[in-house]
Amino acid sequence: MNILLLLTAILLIYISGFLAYVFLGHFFNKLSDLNFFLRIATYWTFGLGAISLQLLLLSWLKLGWNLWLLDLPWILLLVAYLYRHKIKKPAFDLGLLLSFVLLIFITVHLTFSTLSVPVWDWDGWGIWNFKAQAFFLEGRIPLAFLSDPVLKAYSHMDYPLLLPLSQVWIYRHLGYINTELSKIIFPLSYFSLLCFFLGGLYQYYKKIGMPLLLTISLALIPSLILQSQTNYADLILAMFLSGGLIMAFLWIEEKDIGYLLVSFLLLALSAWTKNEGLLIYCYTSLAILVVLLFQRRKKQIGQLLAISIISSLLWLPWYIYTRHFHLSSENWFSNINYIFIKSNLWRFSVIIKSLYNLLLNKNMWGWFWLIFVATFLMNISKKSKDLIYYLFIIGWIALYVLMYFFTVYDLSWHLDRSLDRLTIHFLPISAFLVSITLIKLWIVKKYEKV
Amino acid sequence: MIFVNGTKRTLVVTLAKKIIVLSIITVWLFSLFPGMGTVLDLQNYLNATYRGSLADKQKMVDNANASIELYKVVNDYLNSLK
Repeated sequence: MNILLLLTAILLIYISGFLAYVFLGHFFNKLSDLNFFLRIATYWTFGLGAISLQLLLLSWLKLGWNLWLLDLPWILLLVAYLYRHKIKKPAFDLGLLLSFVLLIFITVHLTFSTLSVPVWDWDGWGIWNFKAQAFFLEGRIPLAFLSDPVLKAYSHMDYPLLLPLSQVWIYRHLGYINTELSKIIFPLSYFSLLCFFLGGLYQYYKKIGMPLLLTISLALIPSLILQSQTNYADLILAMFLSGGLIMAFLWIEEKDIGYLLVSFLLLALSAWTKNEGLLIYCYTSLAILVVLLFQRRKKQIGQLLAISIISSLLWLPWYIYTRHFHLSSENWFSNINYIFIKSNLWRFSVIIKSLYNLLLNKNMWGWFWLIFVATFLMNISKKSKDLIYYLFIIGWIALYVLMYFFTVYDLSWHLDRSLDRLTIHFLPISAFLVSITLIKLWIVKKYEKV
Repeated sequence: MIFVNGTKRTLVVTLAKKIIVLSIITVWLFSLFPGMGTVLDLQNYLNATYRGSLADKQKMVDNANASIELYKVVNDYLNSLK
């Protein structure tokens, strides 16, 4: 019975994501060209965004989280859609089918191992899952709970709520708290991350063999597997960020505005997942804007600004709410001043040394980061236009270095507690760039055989 | 094999590129296996230690370098709601 209820909750997440995707597809025709893998991943990511924002809205409107209110809108919309449209059979060949089965096989293995361990490590329990349990027991998101001075110091009440509310969705459908079953969100997000990765490479290369091999190479990175089990929000964030950036890559390659919209919606949902997501949302917007300004593409600058404004509606309400009610327990900007910088320059060497030691840890990443450096050098030697993507990743790492430099916590403790998790954020998109470089090297110019 | 637009040199370069790509992916994949062992070990360790009780949570909190008081505050809050 529990499993059936769990499956219902998951199915409804996919249905809500599907309906959001269909809604966008009415306005942007190119979205119908997305391949099967990208679609599956988009349904899940949009679904998580849709149900978490639905729970937030219902709580703010004081309507409660009655199951009828949660499920009926999606069921009615689905019925209305099915009444007017026939579901097309996806174009599937054997290679795609086998790839899909293989990804499911890897994920099923991870699902069993994830559900067999409880929520562990402090942030997983004390920040993310704790809120999910408290919200479920309260039946809403109480301001008194978020403002509690003791809890505020421990559990960071200003952190975005996509993950806790997604787990509330599971608890609400189960009817009780089951922290282990609610971790089903993680293997499914790992699966979606792999689908984004494989789908992005397949959309670019149009063949499945090499993309599949590269996807498996990403899937087996031990650190990624570990982060899929802890109830930390970093894997979910990595999924949104890599999905958003892969869509931005496809927009650059295929020049269709639909990709850019999906990209920014996913990046906005990353800002609704963790504060680092907001940082990367702003960084990506700025990076694209600078490139467009250099190329004087006025029409696309207008599109970018419009899409930025539309997508910010997904994260801005929570951001304003937390600032209005002073829910933040620390001021992240308090160290940004000249005196602090001058007296703490030593911090740079500590941070870079920690990062260096971490990335060379073979047990966590294999030799992936060495391969990343090798392909970066390869692009430099060829003066490839892809260098700009590598520079984007290096800028991202530099931002994180600055974040640690200005940290309000003890630096060693903060590095020890979070550096490996933060590296997961840019791991998939770095692997995607490595894969694109390798695929470009692999592609053979066609010769006419006599 | 004879090529109209290609030469023997392009064939050699193409083969060399393919060998480089396959070698890189092989190194990437094989370098992951020692770490996979760590992942599996960790799961056994977790299964053995963190099976949900409050006493076991002490180990979890110790592992997080956090105080047990932190855990108690959060746990008491949840119990007060039940």
